[in-house]
Amino acid sequence: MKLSRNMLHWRDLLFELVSRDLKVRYQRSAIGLGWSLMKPLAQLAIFATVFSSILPLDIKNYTTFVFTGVLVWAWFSSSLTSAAVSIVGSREMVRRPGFPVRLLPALTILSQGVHFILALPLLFVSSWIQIGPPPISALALPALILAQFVFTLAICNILASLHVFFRDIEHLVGITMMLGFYVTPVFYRPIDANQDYWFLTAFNPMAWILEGYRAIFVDHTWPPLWIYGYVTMVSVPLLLFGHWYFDRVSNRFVDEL
Amino acid sequence: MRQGAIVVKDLGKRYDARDGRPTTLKGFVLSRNRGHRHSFWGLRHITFSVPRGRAVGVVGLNGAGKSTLLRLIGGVGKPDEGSISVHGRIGALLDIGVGLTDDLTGRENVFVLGVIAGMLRSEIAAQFDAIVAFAELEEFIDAPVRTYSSGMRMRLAFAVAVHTDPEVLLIDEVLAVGDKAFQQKCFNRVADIRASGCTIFLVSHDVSQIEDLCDDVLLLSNGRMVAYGPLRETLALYNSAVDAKIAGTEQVAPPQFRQDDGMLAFGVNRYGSGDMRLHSVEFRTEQGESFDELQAGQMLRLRFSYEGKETIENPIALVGIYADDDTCVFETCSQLGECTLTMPAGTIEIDLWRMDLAPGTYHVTLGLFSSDWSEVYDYHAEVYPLKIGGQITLKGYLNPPTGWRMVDDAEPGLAAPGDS
Repeated sequence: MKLSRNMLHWRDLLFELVSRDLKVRYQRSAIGLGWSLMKPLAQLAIFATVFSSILPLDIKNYTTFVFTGVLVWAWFSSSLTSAAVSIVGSREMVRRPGFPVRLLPALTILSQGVHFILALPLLFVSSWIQIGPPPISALALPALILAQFVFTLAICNILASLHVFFRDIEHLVGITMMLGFYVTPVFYRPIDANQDYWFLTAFNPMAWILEGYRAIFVDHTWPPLWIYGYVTMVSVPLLLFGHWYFDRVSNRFVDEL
Repeated sequence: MRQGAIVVKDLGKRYDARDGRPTTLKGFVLSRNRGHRHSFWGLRHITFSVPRGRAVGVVGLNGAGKSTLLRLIGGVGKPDEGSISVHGRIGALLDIGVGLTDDLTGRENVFVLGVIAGMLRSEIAAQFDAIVAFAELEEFIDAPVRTYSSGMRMRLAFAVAVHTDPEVLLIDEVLAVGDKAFQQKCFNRVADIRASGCTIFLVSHDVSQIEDLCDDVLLLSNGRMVAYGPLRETLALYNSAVDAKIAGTEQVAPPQFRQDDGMLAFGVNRYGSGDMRLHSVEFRTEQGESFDELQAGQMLRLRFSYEGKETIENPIALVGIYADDDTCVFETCSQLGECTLTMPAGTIEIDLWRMDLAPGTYHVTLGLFSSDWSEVYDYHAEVYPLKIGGQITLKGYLNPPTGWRMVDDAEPGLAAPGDS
C-alpha cells in the first residue's frame, strides 16, 4: 500500500517536473519544441554533406546512418551534461523534506529523452525514403531505448552525486562528451576487430547500443540479442555502485549546497 | 499503543568547519592525508519525543540549531549521532515560494508545488478549487506567475502547502505571509490542521505565535537542548536568554551570579534575570541526614534558600527531576503545592514522600519564576545529582514496591475488564 503510493507519487512527480522543464524551455519561443530538432538536423546536414560528397566514407544510406548516430548520441550526451548538475541545481528541492532527491538524475534523462522520442518520426521518414517502409524489427525499439536509459541512468547517478562534492565534474563531463563523440562510431562505421583501435568500438557500450539502433533503421533487421546482455552486464554493477554511493553521501548534500 | 509521532534520541549533527571555498578535485587529492579539518557540533545530545497530536514550538537564539533540527526531522540530511523516527506523513511549511516557476501559470504551479510537497496529481486535482479559493487567486490562476505580485506568489505557495493533509507538520518561520488578513487566515488554517490531530513542530522567533499554537516548547542553545516542557515555563527561560543577549550586545553586564561552587555556570546550566537567587540546596533523608545514595521508596527532603528584590510578588518555585537521558520524570511547583514564597528571602523545604524511582543517577532542576511565569529569575538546569539505589528494575523510571505471587485458578478473582 505504502509502496504503491510511493510509486504513484514518483510517477506524478516525474510527469510534472518533466513537463515543467519542457514548458519552461519552449513556451515562449516561436517554434517551441521544434528547436530541440534543430541541433541534430544541423549536424545531420553537415555530416551528410561532408562525408558523402567532400570526403566520401562510402557507407550505404549514409544519411540515415549518421542521423541515427547523431540522435542517439545527442540524448546520451545532453543527459550526462545536464544530469551532472541536476542535484546542485535543485537546491531548494534537496532541502525540502520528503523530496526524493534520488529521482533528479532520472528526471533530466527523461526530459532529454522527450526530445529524442520527438525526433524519432523524422528518423523513420529518413529510413523509409532511403531503405523502405518501417520494418517489423522496429518493435525492438522500446527495449533498446530502455537499455540506453538504464545505462545512461547508471552513469548519471554517479556523476550527479560526485558533482555535489567535486564541482570539476561538470567540466570533465563536457570534455569527455566531446571526446566520446569522436571515439564512438557516431558518424563513421564501427571499427573492425582487425583494425587499429578496434577496442574503441569493442569496449564501448554506446557503440553497442548504436549498433542496435542501426540494425533497426539502416539494416531493417533485429538488433542482436547480445547487446541487451552486454549493456545489462555493464549497467547493473554501475547502478548498484551509484545506489550505494548515493546512500553514503546523500546525507551530506544539504551541507554542501 | 500510544507512540510518539516524533522520537529523537541522542541526536548529533556535526559540521566540518572549512574556509568557505567550494570543494574541488584538486583540494580533495591534496588534502587527503592532512587532518586539519576541525569540526563542530551543530546539534548534540538532543533527546525528546513528541506525542501524536501535540504541538511543539522550538525557540532559541539565532544559530541555536533550530532549522537544522527541523530539517533533520524532515529527513533532509542524516544525523551523525543518534536517531530520529517520525511516524506519519510529513508536510512542511518552509522556504515558502522558492519552488515557484515564473513562466508557468498559477494552475500549473499548483500542480508542480503539490507533487514536490508529496501529493498525487489526483489529490491536487481534488483539492484544486479549495487551494485557489484559499489563495484568493481565482481570477489570476491562469496567468503566468511572473505577472504576480510577491504577496500573490506567497499566497499561492502557502495555499498549496497547507492543503497537503499531513500527519506531522513542520513549520519554519513562515506564518508571516501576505497582509494581516491573510496571515490570520494562515494562522487559522494551521490551528485547524492542529485541531484535526496533526502533530506540529514549529520554529519561530515570534513568541506570541508559539503561545497561541503550541502545547510544549523546546529551547535550544548553541546546539544543546536546554529545556523541553510546558509552554510558559520554557518560554520564560527563552525570554531570559533573549534578555541576556540584549544585555550583552548593549555592553551592559549580564546578570551576575556569585559562583556558589563549580557546578553552576551562567548560560550553560544557569539561566535567569538574577532578580532572585537560589542557593544552599540540600538533600536530606526523612531523618534529616545527608546521604550519598537514597534507597528507592524512601523520602527525599529537599531544602533550598532564596533571596531577591522585595518588589517581587508571589514568585513560583519549581522542582524537576531528570533522568540520565534528559527525560523529565517528575516536575512540580510551589503553586501546585499551595505554598507562598515570602520576600525578600526565605528557605523552602519540600518533602517528596516516596521516591519510587529506578536505581540510577538523576539530576534535580530548581527554578524561580514570576507569578505569571513570564520571567525566570534563577534557574539551575539539571545541576544537582541525585543517586537512587535499591530494588533493581529492568527498564523504565518507575519503581514501586512490588510483590509477586501465584493465584489459584479457582479463586474468584478479577473479572476480565470489559465483562459486565
